[in-house]
Amino acid sequence: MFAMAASTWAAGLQVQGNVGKLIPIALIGYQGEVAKVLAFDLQVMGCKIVAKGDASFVLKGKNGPNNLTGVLSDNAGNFGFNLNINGAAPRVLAHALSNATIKAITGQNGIAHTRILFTMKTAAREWEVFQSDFDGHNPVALTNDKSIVESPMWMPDHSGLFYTSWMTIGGLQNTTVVKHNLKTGKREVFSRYKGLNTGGAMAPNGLVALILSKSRSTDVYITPPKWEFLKDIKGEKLLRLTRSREEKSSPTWSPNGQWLCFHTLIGGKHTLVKIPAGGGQMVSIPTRGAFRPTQPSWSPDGKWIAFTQQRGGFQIGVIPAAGGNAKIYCEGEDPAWAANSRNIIFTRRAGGVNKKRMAILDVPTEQVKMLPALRGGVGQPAWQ
Amino acid sequence: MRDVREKENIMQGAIYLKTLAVVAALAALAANGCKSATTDVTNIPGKTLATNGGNGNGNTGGTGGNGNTGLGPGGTGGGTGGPEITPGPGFGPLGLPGEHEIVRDAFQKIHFAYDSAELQPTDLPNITKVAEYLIQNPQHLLEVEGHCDERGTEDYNLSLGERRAQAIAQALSELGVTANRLATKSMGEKMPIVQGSDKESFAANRRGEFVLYVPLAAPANGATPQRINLTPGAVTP
Repeated sequence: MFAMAASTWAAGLQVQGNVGKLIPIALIGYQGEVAKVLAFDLQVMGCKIVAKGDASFVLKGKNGPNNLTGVLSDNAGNFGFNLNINGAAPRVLAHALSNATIKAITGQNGIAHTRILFTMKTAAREWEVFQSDFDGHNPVALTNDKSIVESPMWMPDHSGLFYTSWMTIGGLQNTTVVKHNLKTGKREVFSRYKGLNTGGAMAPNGLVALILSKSRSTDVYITPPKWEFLKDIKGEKLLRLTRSREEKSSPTWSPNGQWLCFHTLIGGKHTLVKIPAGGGQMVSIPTRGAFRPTQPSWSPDGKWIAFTQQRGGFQIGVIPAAGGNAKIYCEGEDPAWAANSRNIIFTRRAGGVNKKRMAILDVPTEQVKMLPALRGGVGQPAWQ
Repeated sequence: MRDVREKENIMQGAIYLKTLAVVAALAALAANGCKSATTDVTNIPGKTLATNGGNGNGNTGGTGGNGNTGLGPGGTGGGTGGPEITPGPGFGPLGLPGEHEIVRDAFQKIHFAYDSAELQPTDLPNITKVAEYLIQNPQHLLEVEGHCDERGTEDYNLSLGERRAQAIAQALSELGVTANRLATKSMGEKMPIVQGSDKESFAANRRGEFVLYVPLAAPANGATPQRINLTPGAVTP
């Protein structure tokens, strides 16, 4: 990891009053990859890179092979910080300086050090789960199953993930929810009942939401604590939350673990709903102004639900968590929130379903930044 | 017409062998769990792909001997020990019997309207032929695959594909096929048979497919099982 030495860190910056406005900032003295990383990171988190004369803030410094300096000030001459960061690769150092800059300007924690999961098509009829930096750099394959894989989801402590794999066991290919420990590499079959097995959304208290069709209709189930599939082959210990033949998809927990939100159809109409974690009545979440909402994603601060609207193509929308008027932001699908509850990563089709690219939306400023294109089409990103 | 064949070595009725097979599969799963596939990724300009999780704690061996080259230390081998697995209710992930071959496309595909899992009256003759075949061949099992076009999110299409498969399986059950001889599998939008973004391609891709599991004849003397003379075309309606 990197080391960050702050010779001085003052709180004298003039903080932006309007959080919905792009923050004009000038970058002075940075070269090459570091300059590009700083610009990308700061734009993702709500900044606009401008000349010094147009800037509200100035970040000035220089970068060497293993070190990076930065002095932040505002256009009134107030001093922010003077940092010397070293001991890591240039991209890591730049991400750290980006985070420090956003923290000093807005008071919010940055997300430039975080990582994402996503699926990528690697060959004909083959997809794998990948992990990368939040900006799509340093992608690493986490699976090598040469099969279909969908819906990678972080465990709440980010020590591992769940995903849906079409793996063949005992001569039969079947959807299987896999639990994957990122520290040890160990994987286990988490759910492999007859029919559909997907979901794998883990709540902070460890309960896991699954979507199964073992009882013929596709329904939402919740595992009890410390539940093991091999000890419950018939699924008798699972809590069944729904009993209807309509499709269910995209389970997402409220951050306090009290509600499970997902997509289903009510009266033939695509609807976002929620159910108490302990079971009970299914509650519709109003999405006024949205058309065919699917793929809900509950923000980490609990205030918002992002979703995909399908009107012609696909668009990213956001509603208050209790429901209300939907605001549609941009073309895209597969939304997932960052830890700061203001950035949303999503995918956008670029010439077909197999050529999807990732992009990041900054909700308050509505600024969208495309991530680098990878060889295979990507899908279903999940943000650490 | 494609004829995909696959053999396996699980003896019918020998649950303990099934357990070993599943445990072995789990071990293999763990072994392959974290191999990097760096050659399959486009290099981002100016950046060499990492073969590790990014923090430089790479591992190329692993204490479990599982060849883990991914994140962190090696796995523990996975699947060691574990409880005996009891097969699930009927044909399913844990209930596939002895040696068999897989026959695809022996029956006509069933097609669906956009965003629908409803069967049409015109589908009934085709589904009836499948049911009659299964009733006449009680040792044969059937998997129904549900497929979608690309006009939907991946998450929803996975569920829609399952509902399509379930609708066909339900119809077969109502025509007299025992439910434990039927399995369903959604492929979502991942396996289109036509590449294209026009109405005709979408219509072709919204479908249910039938996959027959035909047991190989098992001689009493323990010799190699013989393939049943099944010609897929012979049962094509």
